[in-house]
Amino acid sequence: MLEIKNLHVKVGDKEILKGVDLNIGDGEVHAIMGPNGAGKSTLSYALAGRDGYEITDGEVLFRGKNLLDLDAHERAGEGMFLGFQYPVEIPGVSNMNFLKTAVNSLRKYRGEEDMPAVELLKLVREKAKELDLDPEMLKRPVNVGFSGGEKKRNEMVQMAVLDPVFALLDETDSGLDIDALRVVSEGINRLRSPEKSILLITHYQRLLDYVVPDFVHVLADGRIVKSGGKELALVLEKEGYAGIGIEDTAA
Amino acid sequence: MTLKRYIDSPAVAGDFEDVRDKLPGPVVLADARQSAYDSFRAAGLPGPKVEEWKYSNLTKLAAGTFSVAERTDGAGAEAARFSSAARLVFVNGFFSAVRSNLADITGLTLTPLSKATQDQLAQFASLDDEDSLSALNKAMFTDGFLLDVADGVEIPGAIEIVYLAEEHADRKALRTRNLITLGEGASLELIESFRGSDGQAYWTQNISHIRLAQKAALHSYTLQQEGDKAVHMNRKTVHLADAASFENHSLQLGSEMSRTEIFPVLNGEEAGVTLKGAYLARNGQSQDIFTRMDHAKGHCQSEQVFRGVLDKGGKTAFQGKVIVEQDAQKTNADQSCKNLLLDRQAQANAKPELLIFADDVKCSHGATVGELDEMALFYLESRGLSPAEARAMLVQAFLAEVFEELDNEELREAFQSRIRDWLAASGVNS
Repeated sequence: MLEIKNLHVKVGDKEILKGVDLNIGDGEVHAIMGPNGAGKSTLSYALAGRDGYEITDGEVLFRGKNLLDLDAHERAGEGMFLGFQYPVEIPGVSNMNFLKTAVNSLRKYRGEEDMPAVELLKLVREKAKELDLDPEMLKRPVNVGFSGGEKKRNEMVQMAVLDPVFALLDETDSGLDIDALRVVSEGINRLRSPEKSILLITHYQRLLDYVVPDFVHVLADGRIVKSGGKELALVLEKEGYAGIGIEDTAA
Repeated sequence: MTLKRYIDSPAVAGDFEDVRDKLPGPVVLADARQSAYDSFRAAGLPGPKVEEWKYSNLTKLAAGTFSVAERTDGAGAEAARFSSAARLVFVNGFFSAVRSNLADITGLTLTPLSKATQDQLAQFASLDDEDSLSALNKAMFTDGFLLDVADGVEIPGAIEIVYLAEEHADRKALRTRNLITLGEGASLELIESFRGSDGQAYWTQNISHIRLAQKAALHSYTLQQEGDKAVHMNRKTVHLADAASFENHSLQLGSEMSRTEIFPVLNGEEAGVTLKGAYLARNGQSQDIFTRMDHAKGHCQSEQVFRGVLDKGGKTAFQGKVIVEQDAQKTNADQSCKNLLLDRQAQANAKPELLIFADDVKCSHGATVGELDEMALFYLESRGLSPAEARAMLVQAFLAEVFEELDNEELREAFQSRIRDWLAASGVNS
């Protein structure tokens, strides 16, 4: 699904990623953990195609295509979804209108017709219900006045409606209470299938109680310094990054 | 050396002597026209040293000649049509009977000046002329209308006024003047649209005097999409009695130079004014808004929301003056002007002013100039929207505050559709 080879990324004058290597197969769930400042968000933004994240070396293949040749919306069109750590508020755009535009933009990219309005409405309502998002919030401007938990639920509704093949979730668990964490985890688990893959970027082990990863990687100082199975997260939880010889400067 | 505050511009009104005998109105109005013309000639056009005209540069106008247009029946003109109970169409400054629909509605008197009686026309002699441009309009207006709604009458559907500049409008001045009165408790929805052909350097100058009796309610909509070489000036002076209300929603995106002026005078207690507008400029266009909100009596409220969008080569100015007079205690006045630059080679000016002479009032004003939020753009693009779609969505969201609460759905869609077209032409399309 995704092959990252020796990825180097600069933001401004500073090199943040210094040679990341990672392979994610179809149907796999990977988690990346690491101390603050290790480059976790940079990795997610660089993969999603945000401006200002300069790739200075390396290669990323997404389903066989050179991901780095594509603009952000083309990456979405190819089936990538970025769940934001801090979802953006967009006053003046209703959630429903936003979802409609996004769904049809993706369909257009794939050479498909627009989804009929009735079908779309039904789909969005169904996903909102499954993920416990108040249907009234679909009428409200995107993320405006939403609590932290509501924003994350909203991200999950977007993900469910857009139905990506690869979800890149940047600290989706941050700022969630236990109930919201359960709902968000459920949203992620619903996406799991043999054809889809997930990369979870997380600071805490607790998400991984609900979404059990196949692989766990530790990112520190711009590189993946350790990889293992789900038990690696438990070691980190118990012993901290110091337990595997990494200093968490921001902890 | 003192700089001249007015620009001498004889050519602008050069053909008054030739046309004055053809201009409509009784002797009393003819005398008033002559006096207004003399007053304009004595003053000239306001220059940038006149505070209210600091951002609206009339030098180009002063250099040109604009003669009175020939009367036309407008048979070839295609009028914009919004759902309306009655429609008046003016072509090159003259009423077009064939394009209009003077419906017979109980309680409504709607008369184009070309069909008005001498007594009706005489009313125009006494309407205020507060500056030289208004004097020029009074001296030389060719047509316009009288609209009166009787006490207690709520007019169903909207009345539509269409001002068209057709071919042969080049170097012509299209001057219209209107008098709108609403009786006690009357209500009306009025749609005015201005359209013209590209490539013609004509000058539209429209002035409306509006008088709202107690508890009268006027909801006015203005859509300005003049031709790309046009000069557009539109002034509304509105007097409100007790508990009267005036709402105005406007969109201006046409012409080379445009100035919209709205001067409400809240003369009665518990009167309310809401002015909301959007202006879009690019490619050497300038779009100006000038409001003067005069709170003369207490317990009134006013709200102003203006949003500007500027692409490369666009220039805008918002000057909003709020005056709270000594008797206007318990006034509530808000003013907000925000501008969005799509290109750094654009220029947005904003000059909110507050003059408060009462001590128990609540007034606010704010003005900003900014750019599209890079993070919001990325958020939308990460969901599959192309950069152009994402920009269009954010611009429309920025303007939504002006139009989102419009009850008239057809008009709301018309405004939004024109904004979409403008964005598409700017490469910010969906």
